[in-house]
Amino acid sequence: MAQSIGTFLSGFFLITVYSYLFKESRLYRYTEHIYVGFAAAHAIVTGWHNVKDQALSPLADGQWLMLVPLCFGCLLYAKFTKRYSYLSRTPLAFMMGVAAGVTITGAAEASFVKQIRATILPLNNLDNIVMVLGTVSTLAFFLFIPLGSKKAANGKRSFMSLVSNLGRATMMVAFGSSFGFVVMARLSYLIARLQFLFSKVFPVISQ
Amino acid sequence: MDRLLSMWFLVVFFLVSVLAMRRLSNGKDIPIRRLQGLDAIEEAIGRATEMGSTSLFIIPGGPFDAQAFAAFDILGYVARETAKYDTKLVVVNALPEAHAISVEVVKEAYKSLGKEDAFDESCLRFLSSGFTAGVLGIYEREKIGANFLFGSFYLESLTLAEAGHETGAIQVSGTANTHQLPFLVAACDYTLIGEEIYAAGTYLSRNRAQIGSLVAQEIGKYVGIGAILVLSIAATFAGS
Amino acid sequence: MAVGFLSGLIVILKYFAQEGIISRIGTDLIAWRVTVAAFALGLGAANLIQVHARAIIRREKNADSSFLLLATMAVFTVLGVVSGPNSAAYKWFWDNVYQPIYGGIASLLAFMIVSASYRAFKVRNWQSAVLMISALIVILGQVGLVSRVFAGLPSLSQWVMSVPNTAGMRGITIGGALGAIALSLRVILGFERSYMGGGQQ
Repeated sequence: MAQSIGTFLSGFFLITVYSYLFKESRLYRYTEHIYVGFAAAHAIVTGWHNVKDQALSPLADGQWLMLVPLCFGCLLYAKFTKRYSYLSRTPLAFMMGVAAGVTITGAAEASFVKQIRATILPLNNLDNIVMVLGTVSTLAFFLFIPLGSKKAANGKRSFMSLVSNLGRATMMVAFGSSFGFVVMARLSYLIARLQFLFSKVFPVISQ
Repeated sequence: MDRLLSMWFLVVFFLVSVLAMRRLSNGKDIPIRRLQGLDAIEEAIGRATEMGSTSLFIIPGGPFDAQAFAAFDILGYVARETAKYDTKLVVVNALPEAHAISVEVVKEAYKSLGKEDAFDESCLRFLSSGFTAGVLGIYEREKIGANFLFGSFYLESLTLAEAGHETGAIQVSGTANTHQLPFLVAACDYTLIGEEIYAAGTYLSRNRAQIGSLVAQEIGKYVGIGAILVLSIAATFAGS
Repeated sequence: MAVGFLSGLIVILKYFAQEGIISRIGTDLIAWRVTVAAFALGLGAANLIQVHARAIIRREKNADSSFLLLATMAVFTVLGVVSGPNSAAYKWFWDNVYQPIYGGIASLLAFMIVSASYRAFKVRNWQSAVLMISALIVILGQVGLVSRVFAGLPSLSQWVMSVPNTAGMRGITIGGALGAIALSLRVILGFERSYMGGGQQ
């Protein structure tokens, strides 16, 4: 019984979501608000269990350092007071600082050094030549401070603008091929959803 | 090996950045390549103002990292422009910390124009992981004239950008997530690609000290290009 | 803001220190950030309550939806906190309410991609022509019937994905890394936090 109700509910919500494609209806609006409410509740539940397991329990076991994140967390609510609202910026600065540190180290190794090392290839076949020239020209496309900009302004084609155009072309090939790849993947995902509707939900409704 | 290389790279990058920031803070202006997407923001808000419609700013739920910082920079600019023209701004966030910071960004923008009283915190909406559905609802209920999508997008990017296109709004977007760039490029009027979103704050503020770090970025690119070319040529000859 | 500077610096040093006191503090800071972010959820919840309670009190047009949102949020927050997110009751609603809506929203993309393709593949200049041709190669390369007629298409499609696609995305990634490092550095140094009472704009 619970399973049938569950299948019916699943199908009902799926159809209300698809109704958006025709026009926003009252049904879609209700589904949307239930979804946002549930998502917020789930985030709060996960957050609460995180605070309990990662900070409150260790604090109860005598790890006094846990008072620091707990105090920072509480300081966020200082914004509701007029006098001490500036204090809420301290935990915000803390979160930004940590996120910046993590970004810097992650980007330096995984996205810079490793990617450059992977692109150092002997230029003895077409694949490697395309890979090296494509990567380098794409990188050159992002140069912000133009060299030889006067030439470009005069309408003469500088070497850098040619390289930049090659980079633009490489990016367009990359975007087009990724787009095409996802078109096929998404269509199969949709077919799976429709198969669920026809093979599971409609038989339950017709019973 | 990679970690050691990264460490030396970062040490040099930091030194060059700080040095360039200090030298440029009192020095001459450096021209920056035009970024059409950022120039279009003013036009989009202007049109939204004329139509009496809302400007929507979407910060997605990817990891809280530099892409979120870049979105805050652009949000600050958008909020100042909307405050200047008294246009309605709605900001949607999926991450709680990004929501908390967005509130400060918009509040500060209104304050900088002496319009603190016009700031209404309910224009910022936290939608957590339900934000794709929530944004689609906002598209239908509000009249959107300008739609801004900046940050770390995942598979929701095309749904949001394509449905946003149907509203008739001018759409300006940007992400460094390479897997989502094709969709934003296809569905938006202007898209900032990868590195361009990180430079947005500097481009919009023209702060000379910030341009200093852009100089370090440029040097980094030349080093990257040089390393790939020189070492690839060396590998070719070593192989033969 | 010394807090932002110090926390950022320690996390960077932690990455390279591997062990010792800096490494331990850095690991703690990263874990603490998650805890502080969890507190920020309270601010998010307060925002939802503020926006939707106001709509209900003012009897705005969509007050019924706002009521539904707040009721759903309250019910599942209580259920999740009291019985836990792994309880049978919570999981039942998760599987039969949240997941189907999530799946539906995610699969909307398939419809959107059709209309987006129509515009993306309109040839306006040489760039859009390149985009269209490469997309078509990859799409047709995966269609069995077409591949049977044009035998070389699947391998061309594979080559486009593994060579020029990788090259383009790699160039963007390397440039993006430099941008992310430069911006994060500005954040740590306080240049990008004018909205938080420090730095400059």
